Amino acid sequence: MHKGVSDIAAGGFIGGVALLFLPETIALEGVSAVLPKLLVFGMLLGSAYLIALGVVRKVRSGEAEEEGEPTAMSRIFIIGAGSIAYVLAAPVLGFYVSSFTFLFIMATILLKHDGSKAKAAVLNVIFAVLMCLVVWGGFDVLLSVPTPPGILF
Amino acid sequence: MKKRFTLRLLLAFLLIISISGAAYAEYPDSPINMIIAFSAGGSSDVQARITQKYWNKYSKQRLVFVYKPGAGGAIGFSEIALAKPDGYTIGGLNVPHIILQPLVQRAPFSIDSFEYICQAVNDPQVVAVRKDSKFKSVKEIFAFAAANPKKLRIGLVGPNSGHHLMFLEVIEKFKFPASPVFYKGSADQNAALLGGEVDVMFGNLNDVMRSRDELNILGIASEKRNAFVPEVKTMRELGFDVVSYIRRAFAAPKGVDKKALAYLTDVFKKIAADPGYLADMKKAGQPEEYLDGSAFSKVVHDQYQHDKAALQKAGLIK
Amino acid sequence: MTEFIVPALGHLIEPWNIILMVAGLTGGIIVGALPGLTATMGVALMVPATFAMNPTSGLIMLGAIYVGAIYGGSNSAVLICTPGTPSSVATTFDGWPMCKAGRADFGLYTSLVSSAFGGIIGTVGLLFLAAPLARFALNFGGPENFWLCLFGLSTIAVMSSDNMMKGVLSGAFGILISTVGLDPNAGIPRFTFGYYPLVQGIEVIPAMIGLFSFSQVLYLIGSHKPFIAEFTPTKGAFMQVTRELATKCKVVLMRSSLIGTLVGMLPGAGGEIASIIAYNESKRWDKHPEKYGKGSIEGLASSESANNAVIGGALIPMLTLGIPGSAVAAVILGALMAKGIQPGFKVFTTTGDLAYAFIFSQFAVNLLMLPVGYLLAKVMAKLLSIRLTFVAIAIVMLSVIGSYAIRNNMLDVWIVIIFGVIGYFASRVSLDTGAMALGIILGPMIEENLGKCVDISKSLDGSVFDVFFASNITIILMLMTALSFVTPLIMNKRKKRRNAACACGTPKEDGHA
Repeated sequence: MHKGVSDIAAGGFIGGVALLFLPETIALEGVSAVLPKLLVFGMLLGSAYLIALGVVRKVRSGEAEEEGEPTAMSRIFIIGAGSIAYVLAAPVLGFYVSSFTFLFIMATILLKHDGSKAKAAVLNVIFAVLMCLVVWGGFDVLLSVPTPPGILF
Repeated sequence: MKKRFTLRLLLAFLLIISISGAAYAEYPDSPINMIIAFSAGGSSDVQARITQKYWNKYSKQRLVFVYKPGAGGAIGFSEIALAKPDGYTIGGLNVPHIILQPLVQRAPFSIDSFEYICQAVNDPQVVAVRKDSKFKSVKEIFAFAAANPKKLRIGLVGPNSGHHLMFLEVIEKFKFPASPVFYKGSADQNAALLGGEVDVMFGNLNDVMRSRDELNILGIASEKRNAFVPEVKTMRELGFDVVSYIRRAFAAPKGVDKKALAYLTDVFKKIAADPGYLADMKKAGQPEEYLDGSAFSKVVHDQYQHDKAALQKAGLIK
Repeated sequence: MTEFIVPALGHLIEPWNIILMVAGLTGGIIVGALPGLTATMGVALMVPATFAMNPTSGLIMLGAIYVGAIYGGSNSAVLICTPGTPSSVATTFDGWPMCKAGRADFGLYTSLVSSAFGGIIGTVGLLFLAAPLARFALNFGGPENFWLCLFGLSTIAVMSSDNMMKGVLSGAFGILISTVGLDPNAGIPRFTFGYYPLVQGIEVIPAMIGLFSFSQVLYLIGSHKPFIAEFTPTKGAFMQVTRELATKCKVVLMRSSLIGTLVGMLPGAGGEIASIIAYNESKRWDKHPEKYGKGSIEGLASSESANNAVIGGALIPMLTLGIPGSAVAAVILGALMAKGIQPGFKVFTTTGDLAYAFIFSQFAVNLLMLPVGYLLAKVMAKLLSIRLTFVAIAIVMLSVIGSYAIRNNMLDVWIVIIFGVIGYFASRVSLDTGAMALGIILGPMIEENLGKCVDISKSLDGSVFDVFFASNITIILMLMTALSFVTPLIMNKRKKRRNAACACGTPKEDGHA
């Protein structure tokens, strides 16, 4: 990513969060307001500085494009969306059912096996079942840590 | 052959389900969830665990502990208030927390959201100073505070807690300006007293007992003297009319099935009379005091009026 | 004391107690290594089990779990860049680069040996200096803790010296996030955005699981690597690490362990701050600070020895004054009280048998940790030979259950996802997730202690500055904080000067040792 673009994005993020908190910060009074006000206004100033710096860098553009590691955004999107679906499903379907489904589907989509499709499917099922068993044995049985409840289990 | 067996098994299974699901099934027919609004290992948890130990003696069903800590207990209390009133979810409550949280923090429950089962603990507040403190009596402290406005530092857990209320009551009644210093928990509060950051603390007996060797308890804000510290005079005996407690109780959500409530009341009553339970409570430093549901409900409602007035007077709520 | 030594040692060689120590350690290490399951939780979960044991055995086991869990946190920090407990945030700084460079076994063994060393130093403090140290710890009140937290926060400046603005803003973001929920000074809700459950605040652990572990999943999945890191075990790595620690890291180890012991015994501060401060100090005093953050053995050793030294420190005020020095010590205190054991200086006399058995068991546990941890490290390193995709997906599942388990609350699971996404994109634009985590951890402590200073200032008819200057410890901490902010500037200057001077040969290694 270009260094200037990265500065603008970072500044934008920090500034955005500060703006999100701004209305409630102004409404606060007394001791509760001291630290948030300091932070929110500091962050706004800092983000303005970063964005300005980024724009200057981008305009001058003397700095070359920095080559980072190649990233596959589509894969990141898949696991992100999958995780959100998983967390949505867990309290409804039950933790183990949704976990198994999540593990199996994600492994199927994201993992490139060398062998045949059937072999890959078997491997993925084994993986999903194994993880569920380990978590069940370790958390539910051994430590009796509760898992999210749902209709099924 | 095999098929028929499966079918029979299935029928039997359905029968069991229909019996247990029927309205006339004997309560309780499955484990009961006990919501603890504080973290595992804390004072409330220790008390509930002792109860659980004797629960198994009087009930066929287990208690399953569910910890819902957060926001000084408000998260767990809401969970109890909003649970299905089928008698399978009960929990521990603390007073004055359940009175103050709806008043000050907009908590989504009120003192009328519960069906009280019983009170288990009545933990009086005490006035304590460091062992080598220049104050030897409550009278000296109050006299110093009156003579030196704002100079006296009083350590409290809070704000908007039972300690804070006792502080407000004291400064209101005896007309002296002192500076309160608030701590997150009793551990910090004890440390501050021992380190000399505050001169006096208003704390719970149960918490003070942990550092018993290091401090002097000058007065206890209870109706009568406490068995843990029989030598300590009550505030009334000392001439100051202050009574302040933190109470722990068990409750079910409002509108819980009458039969279930009767059952729970009965079991908790038996536990509270068990000599083993009483001995364990004493060992753990928990000032036990049983009150039945209706008596406790009255206590809570009376205290609600009192606390609300106190907070309004102090300008903390409108 | 002497009359208790023999019976106390007698307890230790009982086979049942040895089994409990090994079991506690193993369980603790695993609990600590799993993101979401912390030392506090591991110990709290086992408290009911101790009710069935005699007090000595129960206490020994809880102590073993504590030690194991704090060390265990480093395993996931090294292998997947996820601090298993909040105490091992600083372990990721050098542990993960080491793993990425294919030296995972060096990282794991460094953590193991340093943890055991730190643990033993902490226990020495507990054994010989309990009384004076406990008295000293009481001097830390609101103003002292406030400046200690700021000092810890100044690490951000040192950590991100190349890009201070982004580091500071990341820290500010973390602190702002920590203000969500009940305000510690007025007790009223803030930043709930109309959603009541937010009144409980954003819990540190889910936020950290998000920032580190879930964002790491996104990073790993997005990289085209087949495995997390290249790794082939080096023969004799353990001995090599031990030798290196014993020679060029002995000063670092000693200093970090002392910092850990001292910070541990303060009621308000625990391993989270101790490891950060120790890391920071090692970097500050090192002749070659630039190697930190790139897989240096010193950085890893300082963080891990400090957080294990905290244990001994945290037990000091707990046993002597009934004031726990950490959340875990608080749980152990609860277990002690339930057994009817009264803390106080007289635990060393009236219940001396138990107290000394417990202290000696801490020595034994730290020594036993070497073989137990060694075997487990071998097993855990196998993680690197599993296909990356499997590991990443499994981490998501573990993060979900781990974050749920903290408060039995789906909100915490959502926090993991949200902070995971934030963490991933933040690190792509070179914001600092470590600084964010520091802000989230230290934010509430800073605000709470500042509130105390304000309360106290009212009794002095002055401002908070009068409170700050009233205590010598505070003044020292203020100077140290100021120094800490200046160091990166000096370091940059020194680096420039050295680069300008010459690039002749490798610098000498044994400078200050």
